[in-house]
Amino acid sequence: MIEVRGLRYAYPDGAVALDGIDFHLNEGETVVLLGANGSGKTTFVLCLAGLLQASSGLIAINGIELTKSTAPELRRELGLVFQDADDQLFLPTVLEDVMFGPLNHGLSRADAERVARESLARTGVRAGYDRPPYHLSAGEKRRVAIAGVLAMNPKVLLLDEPTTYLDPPGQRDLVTILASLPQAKLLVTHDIHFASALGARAVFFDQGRIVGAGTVAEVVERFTWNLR
Amino acid sequence: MRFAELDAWGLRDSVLHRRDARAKIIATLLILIAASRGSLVFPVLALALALPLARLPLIPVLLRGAVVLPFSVGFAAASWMSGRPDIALFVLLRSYLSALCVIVLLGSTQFPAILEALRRMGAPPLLLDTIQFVYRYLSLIAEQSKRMAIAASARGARRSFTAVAGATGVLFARSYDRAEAVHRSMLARGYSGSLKPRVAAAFSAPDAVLVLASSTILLAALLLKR
Repeated sequence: MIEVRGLRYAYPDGAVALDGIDFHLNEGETVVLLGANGSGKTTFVLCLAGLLQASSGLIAINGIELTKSTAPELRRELGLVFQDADDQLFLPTVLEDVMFGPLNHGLSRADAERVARESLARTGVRAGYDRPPYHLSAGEKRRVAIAGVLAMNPKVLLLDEPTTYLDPPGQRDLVTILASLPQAKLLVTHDIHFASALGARAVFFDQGRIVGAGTVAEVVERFTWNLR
Repeated sequence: MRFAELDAWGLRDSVLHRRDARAKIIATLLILIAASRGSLVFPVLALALALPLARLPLIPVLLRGAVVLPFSVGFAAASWMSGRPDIALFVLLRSYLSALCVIVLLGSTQFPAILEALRRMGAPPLLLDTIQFVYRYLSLIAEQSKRMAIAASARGARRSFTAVAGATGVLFARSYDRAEAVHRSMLARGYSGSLKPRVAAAFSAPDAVLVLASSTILLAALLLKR
């Protein structure tokens, strides 16, 4: 599904964020990205979505190399849920925001609205489609943000810190929603309970490199990635 | 928050809420011209009719209209001092009435519908997209600045030019970062340079009646002034 080889990314000031990443994600698989703040997890996800141009290395999605020219087409396969839902919900109403992706993919307005309503229902949002997104609670914003991505029918979900600002019931609901989705998932998170509830496999980032992989429990144990 | 209050009014249902946004924009413009060029009697009557029709709360609307008064007081004072108290009074009344008209428009129409109506009336799409983003993110920036002010107070900050300038700089940098993040999220969902227009309701007979009534008010106001 996703194949990454020797990926490097350096910021314009020369700071190396990714330093030779090799990674693969299989169809339907859920992988958790763990690691310290600034270790390169979000940069990696943005590179996968073609939103940052890697300095070198290869990213292939369904066997097609990700380049500047193939990025718009390959982004159809990927649904990126941003850490801050306010970055993602930029249109004046909930329904319009969820319709944004399908409309850009060429669906008619009627089809886009149908898909948007279905996606909102899948994430448990069943009313208030005319509300402005900034009137929503953090949990509702997260659900709408996920619905906006699901409406594009992606093969892979990339979720960057999806539990940010969510209270425990909100996190529980999110686990239920994500577990019910058939897509492959790549989760960036610091939340070990959340990671354990969803992820079978975890990789650990350190200073722009993947330094360990295994089950979530193994990686947490090996890198002492808990409160103990 | 005031912004949210206007949004909430826009979501209500009334005879005026159900009118096409284009009809309401045209009607508002006609009443504004009547208020600025003609007799004030008819615009006042029009507002007296529009407020209950829009089912807007009277006192909050009247209070909100006063937001323009600080701007017009200066002109009114200049007229007063030059021996024209009648002009001073008219300046205040006209500006207040005009503000009330705009509040009735904004309170009876969802903001996206106003933008879409303007788009259909030929306003530049780039300008409208920009206004839409300002509308969406202004409240977030305001909240952010409020949080920064609270954080500063919590550390014993006093108002000083240096502190305000520094905070403004940080706010600008954060807004810039957010703009970049929003652009990325748009690209991630297939954005290719322009927002797709919404579907506006068809212009119906009651909408035409609204425009016709406003035209009559303008005509009557102009005639009465003569």
